[in-house]
Amino acid sequence: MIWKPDEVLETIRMVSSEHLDIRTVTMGISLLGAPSKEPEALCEFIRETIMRNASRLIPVCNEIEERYGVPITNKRISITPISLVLEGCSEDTYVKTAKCLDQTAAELGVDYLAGFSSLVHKGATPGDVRHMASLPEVMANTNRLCASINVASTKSGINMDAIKMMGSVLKETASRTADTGASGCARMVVFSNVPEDNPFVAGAFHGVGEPECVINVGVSGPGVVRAALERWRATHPGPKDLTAMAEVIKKMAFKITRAGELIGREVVKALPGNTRFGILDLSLAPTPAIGDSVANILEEMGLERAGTHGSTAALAMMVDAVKKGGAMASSHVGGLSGAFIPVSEDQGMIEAVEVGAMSLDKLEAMTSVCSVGLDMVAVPGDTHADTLSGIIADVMAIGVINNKTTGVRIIPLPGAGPGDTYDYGGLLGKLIVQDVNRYSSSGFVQMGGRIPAPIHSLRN
Amino acid sequence: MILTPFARDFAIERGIRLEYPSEANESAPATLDDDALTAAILEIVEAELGDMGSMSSNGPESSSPAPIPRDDDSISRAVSAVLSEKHRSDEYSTQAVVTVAGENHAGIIARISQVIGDMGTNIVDISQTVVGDYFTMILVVDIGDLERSGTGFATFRETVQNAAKQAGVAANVMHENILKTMHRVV
Repeated sequence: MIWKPDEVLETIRMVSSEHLDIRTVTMGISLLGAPSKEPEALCEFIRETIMRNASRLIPVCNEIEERYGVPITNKRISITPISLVLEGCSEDTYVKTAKCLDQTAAELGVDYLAGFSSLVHKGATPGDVRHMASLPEVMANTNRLCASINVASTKSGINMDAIKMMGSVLKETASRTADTGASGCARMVVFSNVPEDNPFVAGAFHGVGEPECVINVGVSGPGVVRAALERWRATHPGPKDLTAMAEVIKKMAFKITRAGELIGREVVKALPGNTRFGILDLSLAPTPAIGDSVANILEEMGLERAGTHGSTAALAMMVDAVKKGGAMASSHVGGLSGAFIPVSEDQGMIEAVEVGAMSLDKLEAMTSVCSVGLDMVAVPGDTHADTLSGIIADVMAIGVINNKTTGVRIIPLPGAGPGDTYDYGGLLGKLIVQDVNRYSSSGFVQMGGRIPAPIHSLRN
Repeated sequence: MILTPFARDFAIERGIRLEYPSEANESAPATLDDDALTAAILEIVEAELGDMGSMSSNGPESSSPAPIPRDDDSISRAVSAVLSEKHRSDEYSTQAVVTVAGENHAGIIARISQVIGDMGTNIVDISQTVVGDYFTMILVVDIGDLERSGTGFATFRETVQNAAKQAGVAANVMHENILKTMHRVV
C-alpha cells in the first residue's frame, strides 16, 4: 500500500478532531488607477474593481473545501492602503469610501475587508492625516472594514507624532463604538515594519509592490501542534528534551503548511486569469474554540500557565520551529509568519489572564519573539490617550530595534475597570480588562517628533 | 495477489480463471493458475519491449517482434519509456483514499466495492484487517474517469459514505493530494 495506515489516520485526525483548517484565504486587490477623485465615481470604480476580481472567491473556496475536506474558515479581501487611493480627495470622501467598501464586502459575503490604511513611518501627508482623523467616524459607520497604520520602521525610525495622534484616535473610536464593546478598536491595528502581504485581519492590506490581484493564505493549526506534543509526551520512547520537542513542532508545521500550499494553489487555479498566488503565512493563529489555543501549546510544553516565567523562551522556540518546518513546505512564505497571541481570541490566554498568570508586561516581552504582541488587549476605559500612545511606542520600539514586525490592537473599554469582561461572541472572543501602569507618559509622548532609525538600519 | 485492471482483463482474455473470496468462503484463499499467469505477464512485457525494439530498428512493417535487447541499459530505458508513456502524471493525481471502520459483519467489502465499481471508479489497492470485532479497511481508488466525466469528488464521497452507513460502518473519503502533499516531501 502506497500509504501507511498511520499516515492516513493522522491526516483524518488532524482534520476532524484537531481543528486543522485553512484559517484564511485573503484576496489582495489593487485599487490604484482610479480615474476620478469625485466620491461617487471613485466608489463606483472601487466597487467594480473588487467585484470583478472577487465575485468567484467564495464559490471557489467552497468547492475546494468540499473537495479536500479541509475547512477554509475565512474568506477575506484586502485592498491597497486607502490613503494612497484617496490622497487629494476631500475630507468627506474618506467616510463615503469606507461605507462603500463596507457595503461591497457585505455584497460579496466576506466577513472582513481590510486595508483602510496609511503608511506614515517617516511622516504623514495631508491625506494621511485626514485618514487617521476619519477613523472614529469610519469605524462607527462600518461593520466589516478593518484599518491599520504603520507608524514605525527599522529604516525610518518611530513617528511619535503619529503615535501621539493614534492615542486620541483610539480613545475616540472606543467612545464612538461603546455600545458594541468598542468594537471599532478591534478592527484597527498600529504597526511597525508592516508586511505588504499579510492575510490576517485586522492588519491586512495589499501592498504597493504587489501585482493586480493575489491570493494569500493563512494556514493554522494550534490544535494540531498541541495534540502532536501531547501524543509525543505520552507515547514516544526516546529522550524527551527541548531539541526533540522542537523537532515534533517542526514536522507538524511542515504538514500543516503543505496543506495550505495545496489549497492556495488550487484556489488560484480556479479563479480568473489575472489572480496570482502570493504567499503562505505560517503563523499559528488561535480561535476561541476549545483546543485551538496557542497558550495551550505553551502549557503543553511544560509551563503551568501561559504567562509565567519561561513563556518568552517557549514561545521563541515554538515560533522558530514553525518557521523551519513551514519554510520547506512552501515556495513563497510571507506575511507575518510568526505566532499570534490575541488575548480575547485564545481560550488559554483568557484563562491565563483570569487567574492572574498573564500580565501586560509579559505580553510586551513575548512581542519580541512573535508577530503581533499586544493583540486584542483590553485596558480600562479611563486610560489616558498618552498612556495608550506610550504602550504603542514601546511595542514599536521592539519592532524597530529587532528588525521585525510588531503590532498593537488595544481596546480602551469605556466604563470598564480591571477584571471586567465583554464578550464579542464569535471570532473576536471575550475581552478581559487588564490594568495599566498608573504613572504618566504624557511628558515623553507630547514631545512628538521622530525617534531616529537605529544604527543597524545602515546595512549597505 | 492484487491485479491491475489491465492485468485482470488480459488474464480473462487468455482464459486464466480468477477466483475472488466470496461471502460464502471468505477464509478460503483465492486460487490462481500461477504458471499460466506468470507466462501471460512475461508475454506482455516481451510484447511491449519488443514494440520498442522493432520501432527503432525494423520499422512498423515487420511482422514478428525483434529479439529483446539483452543488455541492462536498453532494457531499463525501454521499461522507463513504456512506464512514463503509460503513466504520464500531472502534478496531482486523481485518486481517493477511503477509510472504512466499524463492527465486523458479512458484506462490508462487497457493498463498498460494488458502489465504487458502479460509479466507474477502480480500486487500485486495498488494505484490510479485522481486530477482535472491529473491521477496518483502507482503499485507494482511482477516480480519474469519474472526475473527467464531470461528476464531482463531493458526489463520490457522499455515495461512498452512504453505502458505508447502509453497511453499518463509517467511511472517511479523502482526496489523495492532501496525503501526498503532507506526507511526501517530493
